[in-house]
Amino acid sequence: MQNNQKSHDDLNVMGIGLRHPHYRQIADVPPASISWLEVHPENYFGGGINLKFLEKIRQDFPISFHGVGLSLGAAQPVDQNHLSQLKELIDHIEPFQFSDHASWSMSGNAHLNDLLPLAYTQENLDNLCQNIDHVQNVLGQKILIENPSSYMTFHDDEMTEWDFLNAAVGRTGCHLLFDVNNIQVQAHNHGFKATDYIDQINFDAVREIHLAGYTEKQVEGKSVYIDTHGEVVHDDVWALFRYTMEKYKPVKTLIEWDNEIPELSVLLAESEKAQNIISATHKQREGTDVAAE
Amino acid sequence: MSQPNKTSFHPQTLHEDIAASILNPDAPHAENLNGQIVQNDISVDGRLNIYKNNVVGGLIDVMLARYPTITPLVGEEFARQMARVYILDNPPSSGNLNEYGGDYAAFIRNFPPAAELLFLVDMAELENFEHLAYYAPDGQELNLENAEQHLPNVMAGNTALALHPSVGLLRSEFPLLKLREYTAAKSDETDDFDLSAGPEYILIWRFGYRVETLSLSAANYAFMQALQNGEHINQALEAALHEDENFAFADVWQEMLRRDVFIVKDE
Repeated sequence: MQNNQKSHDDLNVMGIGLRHPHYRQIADVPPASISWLEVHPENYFGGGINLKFLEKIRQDFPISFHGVGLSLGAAQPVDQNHLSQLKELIDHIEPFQFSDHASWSMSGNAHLNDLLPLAYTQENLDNLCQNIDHVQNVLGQKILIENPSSYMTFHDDEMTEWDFLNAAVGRTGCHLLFDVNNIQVQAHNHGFKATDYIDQINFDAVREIHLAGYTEKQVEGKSVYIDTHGEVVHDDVWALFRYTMEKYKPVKTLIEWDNEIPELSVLLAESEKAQNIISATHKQREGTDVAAE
Repeated sequence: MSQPNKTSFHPQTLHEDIAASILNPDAPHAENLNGQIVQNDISVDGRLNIYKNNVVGGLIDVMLARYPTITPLVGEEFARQMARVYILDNPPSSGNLNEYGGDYAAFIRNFPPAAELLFLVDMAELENFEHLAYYAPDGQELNLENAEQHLPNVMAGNTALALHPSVGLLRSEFPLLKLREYTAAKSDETDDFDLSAGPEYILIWRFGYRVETLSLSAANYAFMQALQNGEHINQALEAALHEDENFAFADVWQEMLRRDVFIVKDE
């Protein structure tokens, strides 16, 4: 009985990104089908109405922080001011985890509001690990880094993206945020097999999965997937998620939507779809385990 | 397809070249990038353009959302073009985009194509005050419930009466709030809005979970402005009476207390 309960809790992993248009609705009637929420901490720096809502909503849901501003892969140290605002907010809201990206946004004083790709070299790995170490020391916790979407690769690349991320995990002890949509985007844009990535990532380090919708565009007559977070999750990404869940145990899984945000019910329906895959593959895995005994 | 020879650069240089290319979208990219970025059926420019669109397009959306009435006042094309010029002149220097674009009114004042649209500058100031009010921290509010407890200390000068951190005050030559209502409601009929019906004295502040605006009398505005400048309540009252000798302090005081615009600070 106890085991059944535990196994049920292990499967109850779905969350959604908490976004401005849904604040009031989620604060008034916490949706029962999700068990946690994720926010971009930058939207709550300083205080104000966003923070008032977050203070209220955190009473109903565990909160995860997903940063977009640390620029961990930059060839320069993390912005101290940004990091102290982040720490202050973490102390106040007490999220159960913090994640940011294996990419860069800062160069000198310029801050680009995008997640730019790294060349996968030893030198960039050193920079990234140095920044992760520093952030983990200041925050006093292990952080998660997310695999990026990108539209260019570099002649200097010395290793695959998954080897680069696995190496960062090995050196810093950080965890991974595994964005399945980004893997499909990378596989399509840069021409490799998405399942190779899933097979070779160090999944023991994965603490969270992201699911989101990309947008297909034609650039110079060639199809490119752009990571817009502005559409439903596409079938090819659902297939990769199923593949991942057939192979590995469920971890916290998030429906991420940042642009042209729809009704809350649309996000909850996407979450239910993911939950169905988690439950179905769990039964299959259990069946396989029993058969193996 | 043959690629240019591979050349190695310190990542700092590569990042600087990419950032410079994205933030100067109309200029040719650094020659170095041809040897760094893999083409693979899409040119270096084609690949950089994706990032230019993400970054510059994303910031244009940020500016249009932060100044929502500018677009209906000047049209989408003008609004986007003006925001683009601002962004290329003033790229973000922080990872916190909520801090971005606060000096747009000053930029519009000096933007030649908008020179005749003086009300645009004031509208940008109004909407910037609203944005700041949205993100302002809290303070210890003085309201109808606790006024009796605090007022003796305020009068004695032991406690300072101040405006809530979310409060903004704006004097415009134009009837801005009415202009905004008109803009929101207007159909394609000919413009017949009377811009000469100003000036307007506007209070902007946060009330619970909402940002509010209120048109004040000149005397009430003078009262609030004196408090904002750190003056004692007696001097603020004098400023109001100077503006209007019939200033109904008791009524205004009660109304402002109901609206949560004051805080108290221990001296």
